[in-house]
Amino acid sequence: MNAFFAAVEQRVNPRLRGKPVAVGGGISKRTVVAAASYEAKALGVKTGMPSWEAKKICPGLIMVAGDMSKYVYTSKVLIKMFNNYTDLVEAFSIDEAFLDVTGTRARFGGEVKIARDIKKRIMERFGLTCTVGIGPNKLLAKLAGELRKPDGLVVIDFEDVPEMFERIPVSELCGVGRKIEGYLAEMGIRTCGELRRCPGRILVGRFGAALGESLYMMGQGKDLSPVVPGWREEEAKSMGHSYTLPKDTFDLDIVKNYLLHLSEQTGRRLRRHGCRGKTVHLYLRYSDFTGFSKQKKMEDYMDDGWDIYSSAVRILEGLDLRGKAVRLVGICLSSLIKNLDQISLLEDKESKKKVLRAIDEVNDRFGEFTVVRGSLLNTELHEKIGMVPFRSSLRR
Amino acid sequence: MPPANINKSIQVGAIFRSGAIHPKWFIWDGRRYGVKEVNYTWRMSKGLAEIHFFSVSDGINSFELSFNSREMTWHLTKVHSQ
Repeated sequence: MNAFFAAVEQRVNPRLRGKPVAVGGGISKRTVVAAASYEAKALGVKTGMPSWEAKKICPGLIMVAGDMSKYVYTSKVLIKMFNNYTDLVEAFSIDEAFLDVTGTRARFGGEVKIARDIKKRIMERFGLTCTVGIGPNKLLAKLAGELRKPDGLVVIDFEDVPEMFERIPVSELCGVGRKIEGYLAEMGIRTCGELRRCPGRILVGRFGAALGESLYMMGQGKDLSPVVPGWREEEAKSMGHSYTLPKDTFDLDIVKNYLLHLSEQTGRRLRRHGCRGKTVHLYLRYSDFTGFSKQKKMEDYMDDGWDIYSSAVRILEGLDLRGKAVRLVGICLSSLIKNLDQISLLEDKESKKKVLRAIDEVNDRFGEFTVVRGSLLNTELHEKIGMVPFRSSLRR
Repeated sequence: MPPANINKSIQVGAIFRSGAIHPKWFIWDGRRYGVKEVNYTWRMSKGLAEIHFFSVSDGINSFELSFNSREMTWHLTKVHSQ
């Protein structure tokens, strides 16, 4: 999708159309730009930019508080739409998906016809534009999707690769981030064509077997990774939540309060997936963007927010903030096991399970946090933008 | 200016046709607003209730209406001022 969150907001509010719009956490200076409209992008606003900086570059910028419910709903409808053409649909992010139409394209008149059809349907249903990239593998399809925005349709065949790669910067390849781009530049590799000509042994020597081999394959325009549909996805390896506080704080009690909220959310998510975790990871980010991170393996597997919180507090004990204000709090559980519900010999453990089940039932029926611990009543977590547990955050 | 959160129960005239809801008018503070255009629709779950959202325009302003399908109630949730 093109400038997805911003485009949705421009559809929702017609007065925003044609204007520079950025979607973030609201009008607060602490938020970052989660998405910028094409009008804002043209004026230099970029995704991930702090909102104060975006406003400085573009004083006329309209900051809009994002609303995840719209974006998640739209994304789900799109995935359903894609499933009309193939069951091999991989949700790559909230606004990107891979479709493997190898086995079904003939039925729908070919891949280009499918792409045109999808673009038309998205426009009719939501009034949104999208760019479709078509290629013989995910790497080339993704690259094709990046080449013409907005509202593009680009096809790359294997035969196009040698000529096309000569003029495409290596950073356009999915999987080549800023760091790798820098390392490649040190080796004199700036375009995909230069990567293509670099012998595999040199790349393996510089980056190691896994990454070196992968970069070599990228240079050749090859990608063997399959389209992995949701129903074939691996189980999450960890689950957790993080939250940027509305205000930086030196007060550990405030940090603990948010930690309890996040622990409850994590516990709820674990129980929904029938999982329990044993290793607790706690992380804090300070106002200077340095951080504290520590993990601890606990004696027992857990899925209760209070147990998770108590474990995190044990990690937190003795931490000296040394005059550093906390900006973000995060908690995550790993070493997960699924469907372990052994009856305990201890009566209080069984009682606690019943209470949790009852609370979950109430919250399932009336909405999240309908029943909460009293200590949470003072702590409200505003909805976050740009961090969607779409597949599963903090996984692998 | 961010949209004003209203969250007020309102009366809405709507057509339910082929599994879709089409709001046609609503009454807010005694004034009737005709829906000229439905800009966007989306849904979300709140517990067992499904909330249907409609961003609509009366030709001048944009409003966000919501319909709770469990309680069968309509609300005016937001008014877009910008």
